Amino acid sequence: MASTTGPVQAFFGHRKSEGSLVVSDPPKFDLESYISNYTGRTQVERLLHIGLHSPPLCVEALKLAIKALRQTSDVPRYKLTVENIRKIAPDDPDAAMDDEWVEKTSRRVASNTEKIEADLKSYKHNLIKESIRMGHEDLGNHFYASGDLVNAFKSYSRMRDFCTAPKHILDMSLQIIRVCIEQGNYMSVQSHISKIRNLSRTSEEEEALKPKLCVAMGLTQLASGAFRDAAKSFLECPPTLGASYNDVISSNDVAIYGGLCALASMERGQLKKEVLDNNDFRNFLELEPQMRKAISYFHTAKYSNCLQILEEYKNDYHLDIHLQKHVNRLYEMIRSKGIVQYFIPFSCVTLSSMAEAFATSEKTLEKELVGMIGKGILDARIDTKNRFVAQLLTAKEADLRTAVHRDTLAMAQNYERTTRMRLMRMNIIRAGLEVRGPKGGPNLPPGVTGQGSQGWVGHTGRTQGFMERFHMG
Amino acid sequence: MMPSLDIEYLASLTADVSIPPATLVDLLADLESAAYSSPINTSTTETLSNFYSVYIFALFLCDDLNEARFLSKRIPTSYLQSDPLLISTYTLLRALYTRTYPAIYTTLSSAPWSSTVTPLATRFLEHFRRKTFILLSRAYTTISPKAAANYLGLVDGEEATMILMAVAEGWEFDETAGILRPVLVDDDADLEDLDVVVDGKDGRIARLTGLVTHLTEI
Amino acid sequence: MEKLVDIFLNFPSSPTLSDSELYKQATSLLNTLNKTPATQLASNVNGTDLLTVLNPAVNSLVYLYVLVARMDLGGRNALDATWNNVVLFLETFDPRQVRHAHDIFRRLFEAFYAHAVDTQKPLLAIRPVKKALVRYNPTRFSFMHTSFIRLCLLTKCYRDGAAVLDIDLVEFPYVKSKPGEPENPVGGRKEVTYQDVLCYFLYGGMIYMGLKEWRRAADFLTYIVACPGNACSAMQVEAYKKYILVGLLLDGKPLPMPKVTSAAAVRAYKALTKPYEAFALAFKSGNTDLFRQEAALLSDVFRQDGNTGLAVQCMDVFRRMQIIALRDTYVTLSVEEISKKDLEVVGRGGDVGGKEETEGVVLGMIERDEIRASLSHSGPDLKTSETTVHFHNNPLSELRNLRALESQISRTISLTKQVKAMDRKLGLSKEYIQYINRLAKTAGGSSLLSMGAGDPDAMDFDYGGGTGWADDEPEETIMQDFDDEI
Repeated sequence: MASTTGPVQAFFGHRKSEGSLVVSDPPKFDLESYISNYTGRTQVERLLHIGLHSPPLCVEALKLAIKALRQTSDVPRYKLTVENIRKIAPDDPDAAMDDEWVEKTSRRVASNTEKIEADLKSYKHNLIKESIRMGHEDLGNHFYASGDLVNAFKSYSRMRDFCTAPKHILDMSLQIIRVCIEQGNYMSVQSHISKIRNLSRTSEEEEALKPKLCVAMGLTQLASGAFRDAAKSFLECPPTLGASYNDVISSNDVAIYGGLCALASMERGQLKKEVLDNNDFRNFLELEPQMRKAISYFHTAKYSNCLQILEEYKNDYHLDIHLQKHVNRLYEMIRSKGIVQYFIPFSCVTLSSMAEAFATSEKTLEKELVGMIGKGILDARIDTKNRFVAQLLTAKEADLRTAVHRDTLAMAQNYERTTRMRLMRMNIIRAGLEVRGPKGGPNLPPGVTGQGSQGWVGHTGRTQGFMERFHMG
Repeated sequence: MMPSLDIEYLASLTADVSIPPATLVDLLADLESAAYSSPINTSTTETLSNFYSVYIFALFLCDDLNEARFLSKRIPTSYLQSDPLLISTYTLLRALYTRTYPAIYTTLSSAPWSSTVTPLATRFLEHFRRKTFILLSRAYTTISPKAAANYLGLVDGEEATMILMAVAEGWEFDETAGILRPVLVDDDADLEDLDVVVDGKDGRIARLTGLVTHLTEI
Repeated sequence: MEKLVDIFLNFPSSPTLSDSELYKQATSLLNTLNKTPATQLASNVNGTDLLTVLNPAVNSLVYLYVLVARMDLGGRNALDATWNNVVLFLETFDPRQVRHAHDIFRRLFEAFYAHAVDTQKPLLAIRPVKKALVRYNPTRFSFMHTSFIRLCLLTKCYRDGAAVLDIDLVEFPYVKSKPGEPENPVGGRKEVTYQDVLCYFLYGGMIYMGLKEWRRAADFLTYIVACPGNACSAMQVEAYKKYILVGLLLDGKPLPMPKVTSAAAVRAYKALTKPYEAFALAFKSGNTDLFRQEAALLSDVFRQDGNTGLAVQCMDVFRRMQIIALRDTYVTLSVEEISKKDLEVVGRGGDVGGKEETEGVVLGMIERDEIRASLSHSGPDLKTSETTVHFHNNPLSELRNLRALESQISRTISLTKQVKAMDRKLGLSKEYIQYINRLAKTAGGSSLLSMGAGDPDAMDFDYGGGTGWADDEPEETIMQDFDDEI
């Protein structure tokens, strides 16, 4: 279903030349059911993302986005989406800007802004903390709904001074977290997670909160490439997450993000213990059975099977807003890890069996291995003649003895060298033959008269002829 | 009495195989001043070119190519490039320096060496051939007979002889594969002064620990 | 005159005199000689040349004086005439005698040396000076050392130079005056200057570099680089540049800056040798393109500094180092694969980089023990056969190892002797004792013994340029150290 129609091609051709990733093949997911997992702004965001990266799905995604946007008051985003549709499907009805809607909605937003701000002003006059806090919150929510994230953040942040109960801080932080995840401002996400963690709360509240915190933390760590930590966070997420955070993330996402990060950062044993045997996480994995299969394959050392699954779903993951940046790296890490793990039990392995295990040609594998050895990821050496990969040579009996000889000799030689140099220096000093500057004592060496004299650093006069330069007397 | 720089003296030196190369070099070095001060004319040229050539060959026998090269730079360039004997010697020096094996052997065996130099040339040929043979036995686990012949200066036709000689030294010849398998031959230089080395494993360990202790005490 | 000749011929009274006997006889002879006018010494005896009557090996002192007298009176012509005599003298004199006329000997030497250089026949001086040096206390740095090495470089007599350089120095002549002596010794000339010392090591290093003895060259350069002092000489900077390059040739990476390098020197090196550091970094990176570029950029710098030869060798070595590095990744690798890797930096054309040439390079490396590897041909036909390099870790000849170990042991023992001797000397030295006294005073009279003259850390004192200490304390003659007589 890859669109080869003119405008789509042109559009994505342009995007590619700008350095943007273009996923030309269709993903495995069905767009409608995929997007139904989400609500709120993230739904629109994801649709936009797909629309801008996937030629096969772009029209459909953007149209769905428009439909959703009409239910909101986010005018800037609507406009943006329409412009993009216009580039790829100029004849589509949605490509026409609905100026009426724009006009109406903008006015409504503006008047609401006025009203809420006015209310807030009066609350401020009255100095009732609670009202002021709620005023800021209302303002924040309003900005959020109309697409002005920057002001939303500001408003929410201003709530801080007027919070009088832990719950207030909690709510505020959660709102900020939601905004910041969308903005990609993970530093703030992290600091607010800490804020929440520092609050005292009941175990009930704790339980209710845990999924969101885990997920927020996981996203933060994923964004910074800390895959091991991200894996841990996602794996800790209780299955009560369900759809409770759908305006940010779905449970399917947790399965995928957690699964991929785990694959990239954990040993086979850990994979079993912390992922496959993880009862809570199992609930997530059931939503994405291919992920469970992939992890299981990796655990049982069926690397090519695992990698194959990952390849099949690569397009899907590239079209995910949080994963896109990291897919290639994750895959690379999973593959390297596979190779390293594959190699561990062997002192020596044929290139052919290894190539087979990783579904690649010997030549490509050889190149890959050389790269890994060079980076220090793999401790091995390649026997190109006999087509082996061998462990680094371990010291055998005879070699041990020679190694001792060699090391002793080296130590003695080092000692000799250092000592001789020190003795030389002492002798030179004792004889008064150190290097002296022009300002030195009465013992100026003959031929040196002071500033500008030949042979001193920092002074002019580099005469030609090396020998002549130092021919003193 | 100091020996003087004349052809008879040089001939006597080169004919005497009992003089170790290092000593030979020293004896010749003593004469270099005389050679240096001597004018180059028709009456002196035979002596001088033989002197320098013999000197260089002595350095070859000491495996001191560096000094041989520097010596060649001390010889007046025009002389070096015009005298036939010196030209041959210099060609050999270059071939040795760049390890161009065919050229080494060709020069050694077919250049017009003088009667004074010939004994050294013969000696050196054997010396170099033996040295290369030891190197090959250390460096190659399998080697094509043709290549070996190339390294040892044995031309086509002499391959069979070479194989026999190699086998006599302990190498194996794999007839089906047609390749030689060198076996490590002890370096003659290493075998000298065997009694310097302490016998037995215990002795060696004792020496080692003695050294290490000594060093740590300082 | 005949009476004089008799006296001359009767010294020494026997070839097996003890040191103190010889000293007595020499002193008396020197008295006589110093009173004899030069004209008399230089003249003939009944028509015979005095020099033919005397034997330089036996009557060294007199022979020396006669030569110097002739020289003083006759100038250049005299030197020309007596050239062979001087040569004979240098090659055969008795060092025990000549030691007592150090300064006169020096005059003769310097005139001889200058003459050799002036007459454009420097090579003639090499053997005689070498023999003289080796005979006359070679482990003590003297007025002869630097001139000799300079001569060797000039005349390209590297083997002779190395023979002298291989003798490790264990002492230097005092430049500052000893207590009780007037500020400027006889003639107002010090025997050597620090420039002489630096020059010696620099020229010496260059000779070793010519002989490709990188280890030894590095040692010599280290002496210059880390030479103590309160300033930095341009020679040290030049030495440091070579130090970097030699490190590449030795280890594939620059040698570390010695910890004891003086602060002034460290500053100078950092400021003035940046191109070399860039070059070294490019070398270490193993990136052929980068290194090639860097080398091309710096060719002018190298030329100006006279380091082109070294730099070209670095470029040669680059390829070999990359081949050595392959052993970390490969157990075996075909020669063809190696030749395909772009490792050649100095474009020399021809088969360079091709299969056969690469095999030759690897063989050369095996020959010089630069790499532990072996080669193997897959078949007899050179056209179709593939040559593989097998990187292994097989030990070198065990005999060789043991021999090296033995020699190292004996060197360590002799070195330890030197260290102990130095320790003793330092412990007895004026400065150390003053230092101890001062410490004792400031520490409120704590026991002098606790500081211990046998303190093993005596070696680590930072003398800080040797100024100051001697100056403000009253002169005190502690124990006379006989070793430092000359």
